[in-house]
Amino acid sequence: MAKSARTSRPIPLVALVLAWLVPGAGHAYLGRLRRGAIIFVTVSATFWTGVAIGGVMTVDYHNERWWFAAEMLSGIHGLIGWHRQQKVYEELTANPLVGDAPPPGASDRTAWNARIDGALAKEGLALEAPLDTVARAYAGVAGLVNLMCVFDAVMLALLGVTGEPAPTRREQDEAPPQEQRP
Amino acid sequence: MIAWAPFVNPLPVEAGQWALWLMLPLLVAVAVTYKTVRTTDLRRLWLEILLLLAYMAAGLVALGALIWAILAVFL
Repeated sequence: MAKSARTSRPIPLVALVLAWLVPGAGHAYLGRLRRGAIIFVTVSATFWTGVAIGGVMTVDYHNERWWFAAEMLSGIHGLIGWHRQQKVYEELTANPLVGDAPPPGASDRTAWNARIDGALAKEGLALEAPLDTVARAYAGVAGLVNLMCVFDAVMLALLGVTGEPAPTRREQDEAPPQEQRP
Repeated sequence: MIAWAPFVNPLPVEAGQWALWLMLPLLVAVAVTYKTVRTTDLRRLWLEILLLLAYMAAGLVALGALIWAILAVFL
């Protein structure tokens, strides 16, 4: 029989938010603690390996929107990466030689992009090909695998499943026989 | 020369052919997460991860060989 860590029915919205915000927390909420821990370690390690390779500009809201969307799926990790990138942009745009970003599509946007790229290169923060693809693949894949975990947690919550699944008939047959006490 | 700071500056390396090996940890991450979600018996988790990892690596090597052969023949 399946172990049930919770007696009340899980709330899918809570599972969704937890699973997205802290990878693995959705499974922990459903009583699957070991799975939650493995997911947390794997997603975190993958995301931060990407940032270790590519630096603070791995999460780039301004120039890499598709990668950015994938990275945001990793929850708290993506949010921290975004915050760090925003701080860098704030520091760079405080320099009068760079200035504030013009709205997208404005005629001077291209010139501003060139100025910010120059400033990033000067600070040693510019992420260039092909290392950018490697770094963003790590951070983006971390988000995408977390999406799979979010989906699984929500589906389990919708079905009202908590705790580890019951062993299948095959697994019961393969399990060593338990010794009977006299 | 600007001092390199981890998690701030990009790695000070030239990405070459060796960068393909960086795909392996990525495959491990995908295999671990997928099998952690899908497996019914956690005692068999690492075995299933290794099996999936082998499948994915073999599939990508086969795909790479196929693309290389097509390029070698037609270009």
